[in-house]
Amino acid sequence: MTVRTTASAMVPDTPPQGAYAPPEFQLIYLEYGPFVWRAMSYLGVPVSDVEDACQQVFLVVLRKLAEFEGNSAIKTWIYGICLRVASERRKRASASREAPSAEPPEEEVEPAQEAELERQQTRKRLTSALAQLDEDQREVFVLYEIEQLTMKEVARTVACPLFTAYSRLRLARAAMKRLLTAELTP
Amino acid sequence: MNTGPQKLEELLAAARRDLPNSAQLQSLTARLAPMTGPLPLPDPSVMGPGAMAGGGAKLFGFAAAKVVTLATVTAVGVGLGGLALRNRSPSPSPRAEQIQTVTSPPQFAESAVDTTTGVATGGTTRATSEGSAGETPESALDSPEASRTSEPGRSPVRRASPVRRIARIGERSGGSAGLGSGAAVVTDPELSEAALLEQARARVSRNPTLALELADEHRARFAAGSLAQEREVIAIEALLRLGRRDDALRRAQEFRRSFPASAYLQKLEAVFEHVAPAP
Repeated sequence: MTVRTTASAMVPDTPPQGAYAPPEFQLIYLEYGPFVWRAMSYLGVPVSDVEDACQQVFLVVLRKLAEFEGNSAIKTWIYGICLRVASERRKRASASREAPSAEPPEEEVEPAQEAELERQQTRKRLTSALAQLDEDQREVFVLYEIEQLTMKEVARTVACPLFTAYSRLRLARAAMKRLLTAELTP
Repeated sequence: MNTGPQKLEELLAAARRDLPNSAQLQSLTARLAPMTGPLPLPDPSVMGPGAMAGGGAKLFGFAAAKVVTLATVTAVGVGLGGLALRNRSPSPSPRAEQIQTVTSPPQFAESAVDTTTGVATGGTTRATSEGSAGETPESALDSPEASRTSEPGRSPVRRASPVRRIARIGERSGGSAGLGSGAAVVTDPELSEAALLEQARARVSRNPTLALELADEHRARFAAGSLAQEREVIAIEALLRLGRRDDALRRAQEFRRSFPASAYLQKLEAVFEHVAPAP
């Protein structure tokens, strides 16, 4: 069975030797499209806003791709854009009093689609808990635990020292366990 | 009522599989295409939740040993038309809809980490490739060319001072197999600052307890020594190898405060990245 849960297959993540030419936008989209969507879903973007947010991310990528000189890995560059767009979307949702990601509206599912229902409930449980974390901790947690970046990539993406990223991850894990346990306690 | 996974790890495993479905990707692609030109459609049958039973693989892009090659660029597109995509990846020729996975050794393989380059390598392979069977093992903290050969089953004799538990100190500078020889402990209490630290460095992967003691002794004897940074890096790596992650983190943050411009910070990050077991 094919296993593929992270973006890293087609677009070279490390700049090649010599002059750097950025990868084509189409390749980036093919490679990162699903993962940008997932990141937006867990970074607190309201469910109804995820598609818009993904569109915004890729339009930023398209606009700035020519300026990308390979000084950072393409992966951390794209996830950095994701963080900024997600942050902006969260603030906008909060300001307009839209439903935050902690309580996303239920998607319509057929009664027989138990797997889909379970997927939605799982996402809701996680996003509800994630919404209660500090933004710094949530970003590190999502990038490492869900997007499966390495800690070095996480630190570069959020622009903090590696040890700070480790500290945030540790705090976020403890908080998530506490929140999920409390949720199950009657 | 909650159904499905309850524990954090189970929830995270499910979240990693929670990619958009085909309809969602089609919708996004259709919205982007007018602004970006023709776009390929990411294939949810390959990337979607149903295709990812494992869910836990950690990939490091092309620089790493774990590589997933997806060579379906021209096969999965919807509305691709005459779109020509130059494949810049170092992957082999595009055999449509074929995914090849290559698995690497564990990320945190002990005695197999080059802390300078941050690349995990097999310790045995590395020693062999350097063709230096009798060469004294050096810590990877020294240079990218240094190796870390492990010696299963051999541990120093425990005595009062860690310095006194060091084998064949005199042979270190001669490049003999001193550290791997199993010789009895003969030490010089007046061991120089550099020599003491070298002993700690050479043991950090196979005997982190002793390496830490040596580093602490170095701190006691040469508090204002010129090799304080090197000592701290060794001590931190030893702490990580001993599973004392919080202590390592505290000491690393202290290091960063004390030496904010240190060239060793990069090495330290590599140590955390590749040596540390998952917390």
